[in-house]
Amino acid sequence: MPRSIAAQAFALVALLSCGDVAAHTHSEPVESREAPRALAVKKELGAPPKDVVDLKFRDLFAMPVGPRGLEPSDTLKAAAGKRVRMVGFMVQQSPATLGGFLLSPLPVASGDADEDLADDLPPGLVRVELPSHPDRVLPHLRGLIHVTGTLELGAQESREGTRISFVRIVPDRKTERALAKLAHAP
Amino acid sequence: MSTLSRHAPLALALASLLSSAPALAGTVSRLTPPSELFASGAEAPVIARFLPGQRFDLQATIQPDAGQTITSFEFYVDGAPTRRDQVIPIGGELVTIPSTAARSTVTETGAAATCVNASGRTTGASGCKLVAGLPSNTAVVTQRAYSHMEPGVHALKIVAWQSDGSRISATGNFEIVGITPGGTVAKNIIIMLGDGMGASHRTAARIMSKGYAQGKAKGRLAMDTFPVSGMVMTASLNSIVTDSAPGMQNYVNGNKGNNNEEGVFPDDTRDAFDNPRIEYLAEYLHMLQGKSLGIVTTSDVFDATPAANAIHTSARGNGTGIVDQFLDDRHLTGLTVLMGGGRKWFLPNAGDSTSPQPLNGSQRRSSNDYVLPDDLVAGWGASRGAIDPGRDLIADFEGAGYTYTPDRTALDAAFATRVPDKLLGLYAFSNMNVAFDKVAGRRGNGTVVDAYGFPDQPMLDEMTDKALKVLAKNPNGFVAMIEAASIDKQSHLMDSDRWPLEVIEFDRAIAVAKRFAEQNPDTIVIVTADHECSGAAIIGAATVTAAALEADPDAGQSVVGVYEAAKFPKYTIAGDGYPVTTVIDNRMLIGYGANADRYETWLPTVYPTLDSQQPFSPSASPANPSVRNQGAGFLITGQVGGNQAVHTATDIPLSAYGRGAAAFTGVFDNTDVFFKLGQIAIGGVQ
Ligand SMILES: [Zn+2]
Repeated sequence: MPRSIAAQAFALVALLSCGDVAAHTHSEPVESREAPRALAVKKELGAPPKDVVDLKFRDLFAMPVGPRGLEPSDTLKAAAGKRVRMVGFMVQQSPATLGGFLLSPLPVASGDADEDLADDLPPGLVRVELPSHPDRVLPHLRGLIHVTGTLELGAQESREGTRISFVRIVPDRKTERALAKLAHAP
Repeated sequence: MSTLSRHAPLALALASLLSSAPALAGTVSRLTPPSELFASGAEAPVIARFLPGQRFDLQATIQPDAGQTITSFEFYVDGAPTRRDQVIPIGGELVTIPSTAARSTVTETGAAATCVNASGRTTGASGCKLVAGLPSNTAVVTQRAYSHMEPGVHALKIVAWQSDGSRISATGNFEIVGITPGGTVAKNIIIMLGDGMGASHRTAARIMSKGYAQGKAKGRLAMDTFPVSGMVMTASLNSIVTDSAPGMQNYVNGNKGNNNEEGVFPDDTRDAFDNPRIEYLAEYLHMLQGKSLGIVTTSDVFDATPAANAIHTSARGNGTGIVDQFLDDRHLTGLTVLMGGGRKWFLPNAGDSTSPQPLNGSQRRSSNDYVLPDDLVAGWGASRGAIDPGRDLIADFEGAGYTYTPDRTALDAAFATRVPDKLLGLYAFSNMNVAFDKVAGRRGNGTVVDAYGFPDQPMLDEMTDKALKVLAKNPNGFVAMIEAASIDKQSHLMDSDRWPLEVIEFDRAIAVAKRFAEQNPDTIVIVTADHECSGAAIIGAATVTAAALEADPDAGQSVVGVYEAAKFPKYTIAGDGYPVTTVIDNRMLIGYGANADRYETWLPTVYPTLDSQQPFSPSASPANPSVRNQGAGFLITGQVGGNQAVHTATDIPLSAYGRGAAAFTGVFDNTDVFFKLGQIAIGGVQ
């Protein structure tokens, strides 16, 4: 685990300095800041709280990939309605989405409809909801973060009505509080 | 005031000279097909060339006088109006298209508030018709699917009438390249396309897979055994250095394209699917002779090289529209085999959201799908298309008679009892894994292919063998384009272990094609590339053992043996045809002339460098060469920015085998290849 975090940190350095990702992003710079201590993953996390399972991105889908596309794994299906902890990167979305953000296994950026013509986001992204602030947005947080909350499975339209999420985490109070502090008007 | 301007630059120059002129005079700012005559007034070189009967669109962008609009237009070739009813085959029947149906005038009809700025120029904003910077009364006039039979250079003139009755006109030219009849034709055309493969790539594969001793190669690559070779110039319409879209299309439609564009000329409308089309070799030979088309690649099938054989778009990133058009226009292209990666474009996405994607991982989106305008549908007999992210394209392919194979086991099974009539293979979500990692998987180390979620991908030679079996069922013959896509991708990444294995894999596919041509002498096989990538050079070999390299990854220049110190690196080839390992003592070393910064250890990484188009790149993959081995390797600073090596303008070698091979000698332009193939397929070889 520490090994792969180190690799992800490398990938992050690359993200912040390379032209490749910039090509997919937007002309207007996205607000970005260091993740607060309550969310940042700086070293290996300890055991999750009682009744919380660590859910890894690579465990979300049945492998190998099916002939008709991805299929949710038994692990993901079993986690529905349960409390989970996930570690990942906040997707740098432009414009930021209302009332939550996308968590990704890799550091990635995504422009608006016109510009991300091809395929810049990996599948299996998890939407992290911010139910206490449905009309606010979050700044982009740099680096690995961890999120603990209740896993929801099933299609749900975003507040803007433009996006549909399939896997969501409704954060626990502690995570929610750390995120709420950063939320602001769009 | 009416203006009769011969061509736009002159008119513009005139306008700027006469700064006191009351208004900018009406001009033709673009005339398609492109010509030097229109651009500069010079008669030569002739830019656009076509085979007799090969279809292409005529188009002009007309900027009327202030206050005027364009009310009508006519294209003239050699002084005669081009307007005529066409008879074209649609769905096996000859259909007459009235001349009026295949014409259009596009003006800025979008909301004026967003599409026209305060100074009366177009904004090119989303939802508008025209690109930015044109006078708001600009008209783009088009006549679709024109063709001409007479060889020689022809004058093309556009005349447009303004609302006050005055005229604007401009002149350009194009050439019809004749075909000499009476020879013996090649029924089958196989284009083996090593994306990014220059001379160094071929040499490196030979050194690795055959070995050298006392100054001589101990064996030859299959491509080395082709009797004829030539050198190809690869520039695109807008640069000496091409990207992969025009790099491919010029071989199969005879014309230079802009970077990013496939099977079209550039235009001044925003719609990426309405550009002036140029008929592809496969479309031309399907119409004339009923040939089939097979496309086989190791990349995502929507990628530039495969798409630039059958798809017409000015935006190579429009994945949803591109894969739809493969199926929708099969009656025009004869598409019979489509194999490669890119499954994610074929899966239904009813919600049209890709951030995040639906649970099946679909990347389909309405924003990169297509619907064609009326004149294009009428003129070409093309399918209109639809905005349908929810389309189950695999099911639609199956419904159209294609056998779908998601992995090697299914591919073998599909041929167990009979050869399928049509074949679809989608072996990865995006690009397929590279030979280095696929071979490791087959030898029992599935670290990489398992992480990507596709442990059972076929090799390119296996795909080629199956594709040719299907295509050979058509008694009228076929056009096959078989691409080793990751020679280019791994060269961009300067992965000196992964791209040589891509060339070896490609050569094994070439051996399959050669065997087919030996058994079917009415076949021409060419091995070529769209361009060189990375400026790869074999600089010598390590002066130390593999263990010493591993012990000192920062050794850098101190272990590079040049000239006689390089000796003859000796790789051991396993029964599967690939090196037992690339990490040998005194291994071959590669330098890059078109490189970005990289850290060099002279050793491979366990995981391939992150492929931004591959959804399951393991998190352990290095993000790019500028951070790969950072803190371990020796920093080599590059001459180019970014974090990848780039394409170069260097000529690339082309080798030919079979009927008509002799035509491919000397130094020639990439577009010449198209006309040579046309002669061989239609006029034949004396
Ligand atoms: Zn390339």
